[in-house]
Amino acid sequence: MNTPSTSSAVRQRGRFGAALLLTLCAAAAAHAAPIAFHVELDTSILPGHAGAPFALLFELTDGSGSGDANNTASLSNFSFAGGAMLGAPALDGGASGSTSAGITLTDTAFLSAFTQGFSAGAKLGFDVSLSTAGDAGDTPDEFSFFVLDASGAPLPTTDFGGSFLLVDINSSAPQVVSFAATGAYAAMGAPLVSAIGGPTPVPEPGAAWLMACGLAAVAWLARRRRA
Amino acid sequence: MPARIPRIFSLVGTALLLPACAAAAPYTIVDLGDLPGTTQPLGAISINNRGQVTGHTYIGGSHHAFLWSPAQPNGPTGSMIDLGVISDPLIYINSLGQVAFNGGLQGVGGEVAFLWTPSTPNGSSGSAVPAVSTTFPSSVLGLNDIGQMVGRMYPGTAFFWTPLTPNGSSGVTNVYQAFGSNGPYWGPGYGNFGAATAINNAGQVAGYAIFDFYGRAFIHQNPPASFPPVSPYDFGTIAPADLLEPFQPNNQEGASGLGSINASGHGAGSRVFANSLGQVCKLPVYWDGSSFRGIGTACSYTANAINNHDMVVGQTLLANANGESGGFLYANGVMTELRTLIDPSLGWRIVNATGINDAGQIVGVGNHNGSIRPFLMTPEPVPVDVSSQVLVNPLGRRCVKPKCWQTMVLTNNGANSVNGPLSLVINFSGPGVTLANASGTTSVITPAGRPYIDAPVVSLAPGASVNLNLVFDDPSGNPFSFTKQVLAGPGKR
Repeated sequence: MNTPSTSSAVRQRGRFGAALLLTLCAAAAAHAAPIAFHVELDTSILPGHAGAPFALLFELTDGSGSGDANNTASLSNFSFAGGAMLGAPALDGGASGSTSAGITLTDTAFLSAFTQGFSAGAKLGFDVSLSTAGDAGDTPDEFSFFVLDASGAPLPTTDFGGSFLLVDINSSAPQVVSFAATGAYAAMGAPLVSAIGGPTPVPEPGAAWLMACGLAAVAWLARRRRA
Repeated sequence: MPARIPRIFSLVGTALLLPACAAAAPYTIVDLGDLPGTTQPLGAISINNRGQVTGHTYIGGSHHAFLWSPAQPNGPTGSMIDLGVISDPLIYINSLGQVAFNGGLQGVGGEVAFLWTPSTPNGSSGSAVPAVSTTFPSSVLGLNDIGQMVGRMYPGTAFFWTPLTPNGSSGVTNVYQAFGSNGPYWGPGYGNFGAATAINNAGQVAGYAIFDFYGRAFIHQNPPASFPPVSPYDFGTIAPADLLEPFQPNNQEGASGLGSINASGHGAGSRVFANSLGQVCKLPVYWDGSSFRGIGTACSYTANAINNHDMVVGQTLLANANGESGGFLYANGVMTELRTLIDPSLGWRIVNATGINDAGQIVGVGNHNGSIRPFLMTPEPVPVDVSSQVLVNPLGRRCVKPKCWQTMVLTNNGANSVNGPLSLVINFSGPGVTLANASGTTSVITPAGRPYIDAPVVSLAPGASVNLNLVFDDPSGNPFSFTKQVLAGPGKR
């Protein structure tokens, strides 16, 4: 049988625990969940192509232009299917890492870019994890992926800017948009994008996360009451 | 905190479509051509709201009036007919296409006012009659859209003629009685004793009366028109209260006259001012209903016509080194030399602007590559600022030096369609960046020199969107921002 003092301490611990859980849930809901997806691009026509050598370009632009560092793109698990990296990467703005160790792009500058020469194999694959914090201005942050030819120009795609893939971070559930190669590179098609750990790269909505937190809190309080 | 990219216009609030801020609108100019047998081209005199133009020319040794009618209302191409022999270049046209002019009449010892009426409204065939008098000389100086005429007639009176039916060819003549320093007398009179010089559709008659050596402008309100006119056709007396300024005897300063009056009772003419040297100077003026506003600083010139938007045209001394005179347009307190509103490569020098209609079309006399020609100037359309209705939503920006790419989504947030062409004007907040795929740069919309890009749509329905893909040259790779303005409708940007 609990003494009044013991009972009071338990109640106090219970209130603290509930407050902590709600705080954690609220904090988690306030930060939009990152999206994660895998990208695979057919590069089989690139070996020996007149446009070689080629380079990969991953880019994160800050919509505010000020470098507010509110979003990060992490790239990992690179595979070249017979190809390989060439030389050292060029890092601009908030870019760091390597294709072997993983690349991080944080929008600490207007333009954060990672450029890496490569000799193409049959396919190019990599994973992307992208945070989804919205900018206060009317222009969203944007993640994009290009393949550059020997002149440094993007290979032509159905995107008027020449990207193979872009994500406008204009909501907590931004759309991943891919574009097909055109012209002399048309056989590459568009990159295949698949969600990591699920059928789609769309993250769990904030409302669902809040509901899960609420259910967890109810379960935790009910168990305490039974104890 | 990230900076918010400012917008030129708020995107909330009323969805009014505002005229874009524009410099003086540019004009196109055309030569009205010749009558068959023309030996000495002269000029255009007046224009109605349909764009019909009257003017004068010489055929052989005779002075003729012409009527030029556009193929389409207010269009730049048309055809010309001969209205017959005239005695002076005082020719007026109203909205129906009636033309008043002065010509000779057998048995009358002076010119007579004629009224030419088309067989069908604005038609190119019709007949002229000596409407005011077949006994005494008369000179028409003004015509309104009802077909009422004013002028001066023997033996020293100003006349007011009104038709028996609207725009009819027969009517009744009234002569004005005026006051004088020694009591009432008949006048303003024939010759240099005064005249009724213009009339608007409300029956307000402008003119000038002479009491000493100098004319004084007046505006006299007639009773409303009635058909048939009420006998004995007494349309009142020119009274001291009709004078636009208090009468100061024997004082040349203040001498004034109006040659044109619009629906608001505002007028165009000339007035004598004293300059800083104590000399007097006759300037073109705009009568705004309560005071004369001098136009420019060149002496001895006059304002010839005013439209219902208070746009005034006339002649002034050009601001160039040649001492040439030229036509001007005065609107919103600003005088603009007409030569600056047309393409200089076309070879025109505007000598005098004599008429303007409510569409802003201007007629007059020009020197075209060395020949004196009648001209018609038509304002180019000015696009409308629809920034409050068409919202611009920028998508993300991506860059590979030296270029950046960004899509703008334009959405019609209003209840009505927006008629194109549609253009997005970009105003960069700093140097170093250009719009590589600009359709052009602004020249009419102020400030000039900003790049714009046209949207590939004819119109934008309510709720509809269109994407505009912008390509920037950003050699430095620095961040950049810009404000945006959406223009709609035809016309130079």
